[in-house]
Amino acid sequence: MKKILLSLTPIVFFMCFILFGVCSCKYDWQKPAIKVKHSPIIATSSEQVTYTVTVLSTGDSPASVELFIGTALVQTFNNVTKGQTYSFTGGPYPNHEKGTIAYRATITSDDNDSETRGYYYFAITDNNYDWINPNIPARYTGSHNIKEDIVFHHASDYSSFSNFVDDVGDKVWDVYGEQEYIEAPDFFDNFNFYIYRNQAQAIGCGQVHGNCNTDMPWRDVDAILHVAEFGDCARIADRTFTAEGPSTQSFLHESGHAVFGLSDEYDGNTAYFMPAVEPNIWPHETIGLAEQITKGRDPKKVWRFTTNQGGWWGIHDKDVKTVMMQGWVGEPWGKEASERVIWYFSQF
Amino acid sequence: MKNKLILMIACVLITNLICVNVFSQEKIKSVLLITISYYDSTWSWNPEGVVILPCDPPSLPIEMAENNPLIVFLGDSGILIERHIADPRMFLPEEYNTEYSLLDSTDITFRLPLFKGIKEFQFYYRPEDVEASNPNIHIDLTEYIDQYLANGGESQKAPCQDEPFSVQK
Repeated sequence: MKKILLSLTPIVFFMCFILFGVCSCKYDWQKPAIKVKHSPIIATSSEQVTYTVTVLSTGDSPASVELFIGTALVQTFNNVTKGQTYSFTGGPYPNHEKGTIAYRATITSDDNDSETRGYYYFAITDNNYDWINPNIPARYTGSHNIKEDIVFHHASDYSSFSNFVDDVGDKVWDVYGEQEYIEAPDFFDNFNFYIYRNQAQAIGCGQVHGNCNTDMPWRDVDAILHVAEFGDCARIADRTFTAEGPSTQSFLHESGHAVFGLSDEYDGNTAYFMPAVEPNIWPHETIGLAEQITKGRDPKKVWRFTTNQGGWWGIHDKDVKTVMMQGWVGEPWGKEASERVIWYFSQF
Repeated sequence: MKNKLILMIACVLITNLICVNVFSQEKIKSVLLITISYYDSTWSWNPEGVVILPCDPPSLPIEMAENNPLIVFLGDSGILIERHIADPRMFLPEEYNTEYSLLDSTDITFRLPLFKGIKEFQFYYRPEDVEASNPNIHIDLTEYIDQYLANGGESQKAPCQDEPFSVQK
């Protein structure tokens, strides 16, 4: 009996690795985990700011969350529950006008296991949204050379800058912050978000203000928000895209292009392309077949989804709306696009 | 003993080669802006479109498959960095009712890291241009870099330098 048990040990270890080692690569639910946000995403010196902590896991024991603004502990939430949100409202911050507020949160379990998120920085502007620079930090997590800087620009059809600021908050928290993979705090914290004061053009695939290159040569992605609804556009070479601000129609899909380097997965009048690593579509069936065989997947899933530009192949299900077919929040990335997104975040 | 000496010398030489190579690709906190244009089926640039700023560069452009345009940085010892990039004429429209074609004209400003040791920049639009070693754009950067360093290099002040963020502030 003992021999049988011993002989089963490697199999048990292997099964444990498959079940826990592989499955826990995204989150380690045995440890306490949180994500934190603030709203509005930049505040005028007369506005209050609400900080919201979402408890992703408490680990194996009860836990508490401490919220710090600057170095001051402003709130402790005891006996927090997984999946629940906890809020604190602070400010206004007139003494920080044209400066920044820094905040962090720490969750600590009764086992003394803990996780900290932050410091995050955001700007306090004057009442006209003027700051010390035209590029205003909306959520700064670290230096430009180690983070991906996404800058939001506003088109001329915004009736007020505060509406634009609200829309940026929605994109950051309700689109990126709720979308598979991006929402994971370890991934999400690779982004800095900025709001740019100078106006951009949304038409003609988007054109940022002429001062951008001298104000922010370090930026990685330009997102131009507009109010009117029209067919949006992205460019890969300079990582620029346009999207409706008040609705969420195009933002995620266009981010798929400009942030992650994903190609369209629909059949239409667009350009198809293949990045060097983890492309989501292929210009030759053989590349797709090789990919599926290498990864132990069914090569029969490879299909020619468009005859445009010599034909392009993918494995996405034509009956399932993926992010790169449509792009509404909550839609799946699909297998190949997921691999590209995960690879992208692995580069940080 | 002789063999050991040869081995030691070989190790030093190899190590130095590796060091030189790594050093030559070291980024400095400066960004090189190069504007190129496509009009009348021709790629061009002008001297005013080359600027160096004492600020962080963005990450390198998204790397594309090999049949795409190529940018190359050359140093004294040859190629320092090369990368296939997306076609600057390519745009990705949604709900587009017209048959797709690449842009007839465009300008693009590359924002690239200023690696130590770079001397020249090349842009190849088509794979045939790469094969023929016939760049569509070839810029000698020496003069720009010398002028930048003479003006103070990274120690210069520029609008793109963020205020340092501090918890106390």
